[in-house]
Amino acid sequence: MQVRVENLKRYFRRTRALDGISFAFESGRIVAFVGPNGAGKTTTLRILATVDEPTAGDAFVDGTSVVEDPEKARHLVGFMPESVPAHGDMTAHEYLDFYARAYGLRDPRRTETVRSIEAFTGLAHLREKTVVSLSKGMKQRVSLARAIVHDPPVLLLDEPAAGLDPRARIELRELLGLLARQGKAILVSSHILTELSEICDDAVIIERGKIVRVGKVDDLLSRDTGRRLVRIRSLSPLPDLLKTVVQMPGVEEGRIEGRYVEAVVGSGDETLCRTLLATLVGRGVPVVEFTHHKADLEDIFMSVTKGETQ
Amino acid sequence: MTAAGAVLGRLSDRVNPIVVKELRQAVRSRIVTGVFLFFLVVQLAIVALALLLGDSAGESLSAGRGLAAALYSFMMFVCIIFLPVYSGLRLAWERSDTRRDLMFATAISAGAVVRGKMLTAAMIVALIYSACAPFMVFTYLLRGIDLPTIFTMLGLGALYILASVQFILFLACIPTSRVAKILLGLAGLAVILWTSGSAAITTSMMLAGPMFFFGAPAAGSIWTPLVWGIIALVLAMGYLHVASVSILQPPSANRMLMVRIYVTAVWLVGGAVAVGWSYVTRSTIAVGIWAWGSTFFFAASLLVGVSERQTWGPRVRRRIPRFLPARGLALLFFSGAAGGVLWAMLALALTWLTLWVMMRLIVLSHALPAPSQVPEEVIPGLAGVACYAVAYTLTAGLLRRGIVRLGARFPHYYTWVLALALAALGSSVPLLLLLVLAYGSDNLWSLMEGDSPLTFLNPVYLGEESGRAARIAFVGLWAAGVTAASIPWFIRQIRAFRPLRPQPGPMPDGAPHG
Repeated sequence: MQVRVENLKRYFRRTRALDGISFAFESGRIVAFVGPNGAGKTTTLRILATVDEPTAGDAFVDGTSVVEDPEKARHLVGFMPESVPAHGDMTAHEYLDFYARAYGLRDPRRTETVRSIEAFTGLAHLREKTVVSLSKGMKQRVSLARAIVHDPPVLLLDEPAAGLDPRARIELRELLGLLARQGKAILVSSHILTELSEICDDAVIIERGKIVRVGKVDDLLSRDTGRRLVRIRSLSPLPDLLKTVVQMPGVEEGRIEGRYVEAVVGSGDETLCRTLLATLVGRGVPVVEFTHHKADLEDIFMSVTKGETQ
Repeated sequence: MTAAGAVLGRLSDRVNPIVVKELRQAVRSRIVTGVFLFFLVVQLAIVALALLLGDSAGESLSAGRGLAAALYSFMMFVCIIFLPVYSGLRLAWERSDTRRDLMFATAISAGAVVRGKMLTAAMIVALIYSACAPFMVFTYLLRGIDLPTIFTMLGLGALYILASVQFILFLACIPTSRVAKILLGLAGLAVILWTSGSAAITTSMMLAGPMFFFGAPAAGSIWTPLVWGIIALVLAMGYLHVASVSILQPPSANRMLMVRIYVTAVWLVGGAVAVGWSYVTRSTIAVGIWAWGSTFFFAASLLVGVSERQTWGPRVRRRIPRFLPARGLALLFFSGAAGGVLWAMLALALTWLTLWVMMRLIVLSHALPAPSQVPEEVIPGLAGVACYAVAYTLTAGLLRRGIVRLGARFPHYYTWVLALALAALGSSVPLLLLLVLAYGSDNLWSLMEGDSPLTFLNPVYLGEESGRAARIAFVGLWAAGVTAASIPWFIRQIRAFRPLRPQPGPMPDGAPHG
């Protein structure tokens, strides 16, 4: 199962929400779809979910075009939008039952599916409550349950963690992990990059309707965040320590930050950090703390985007 | 699961999901419950007031008729406003560009959505009728009205309410901005209220005689227009239904296929009935009405046709027949600008030809005197209407293609706006220029009469007798000229209308990539 986006364009009058983006991802992968506000993330997801139509270009889910065969593509895609579910006057159970019917599920399979999804998403005890009366976190669960009610191989999640408390975020992360292990291809758009860093295999970074980076998270880390920040604390005076550190090979710059000397080393490779520490100890510097900050998705995002919106 | 449970489960599976959802929401809705209770209270009050303040039932022979009229008017007024607004607002909200409901991204077909909405409206009508019908039937006991009249009125009322709902649902389907949707909705409501006048007239005619079904004076005169009215209403509902479904379908779909099949079927059956009727009665009135309605309908269809897609995606091309004659027929019925224009032009020509032949056959035989015949002027008049429609539409098409060739962006779906703008300009600018240039001149008004060439671009002047021949010759030449100028475009479109050749898809190539 592969999802392929090809030269997708979506214009709203003069605004180019999407300006010819292309990328692809496959089953069993969780893909982070990140970008500043107004970058085109939601527009892309809406087009993939067949809720919106592109101005040009196409996207294919397992070879099925979302433009030419949206009815077929809908069976393959589950979409969880950022907004809370509409039809808030229905109970959570009625809501899920309606969507199960809408996807053509027949009894007794429909009843069993809805029941198992309610259990999977932790909604079983809230099934008789109206959607509007649920908390934000529970509404998000209803929305996720709706997205998976027809067991689609592809999931599109738009800001699924927005507004969730830490516990709900952890639970959501676990749910997504479970779904990925079931072989689903998951595209997650989120602003909370630390959340995504931990669960995503791949990343697509978009800005002003254009893709700026795409690939495996590890590859992007080594490519875009080659430099590492090392923090050293020692018993010797900080100016002396700084002088020693900046003279070492591989150190690009150094500065004093509080009780620490911070050094920027020019490679993502940990070898340089190890050499730096060994040299300092070898020269008799009384090092009491030595840490290096490992780059994550947030660093990639900050390094490749300019924060421009449209 | 018990056998009964299994049967109920199977039945439940057969129900349209939209109906299930809408009814679940309706029974929880305070608005629906409120309207229902309001109905009961007001009807109770009307009956109580009628009994307390009116003549006693024993003395008056028309107490029941008056009360039935009051109850029916109240029910119709509330239903005609409430149900279309309720159904239309919900669909418009669900179809909003910014918050398009996710049910449109499920496996529910566009047809099921419209049918579901209509079925729900029918069920709410049934719910309201369940509150209203007992009061209406009660009026029979007060005398002055019979049960068949009551039930006929209720049936006609239900049909009119459902037609109104279908009309508003059609407007709600039209993809446009929120402000435009509100304006459309208000205009639609105004049309419904305006046309409800005819329903009121029918009702008052039915109530005019004490025994509508049993020898009332009005009974004979009411049936013919009533039956034709019902047929027209049902056909209009059918058209609005297929048009709504067509709008809800994805742009890649063959949206116009069902609409054209439906219209062609109605046009052919209507034409056959009209011709037969005219032939039997030796009166051209029936065929004249059919030709008049068809000409205006297909003239409007030209505007739709010219604004349709100019290219076909794989979805439509997969269904284009390989057999050449079948492909020619498909061109006329499938979505597409050239096919749409040709379809409407062909229908206009055949309509006019049928009318002309029937006029020759019947009028020349002098079967019936003039009042039973369509006036002779209708033939050139309808030809003029068709020529104006073709001329303005194809001119707009030519202009749009010219604008696009110059590098400017002009979406094909706005061609109808250009055609209407051209018609508005053509109708007003020459006359305004004349008014400015010849202001104060003695012969100003004579220059503005029908035989003045300055009025030739204005289709409204078709009604004037003076200069009709010259006007029709002018517009005929104009229509022929733009048709000839559009021939290369027609040929390009016809050549492009080919079935899709199967092509191997690209192979998946591994890990995520840009």
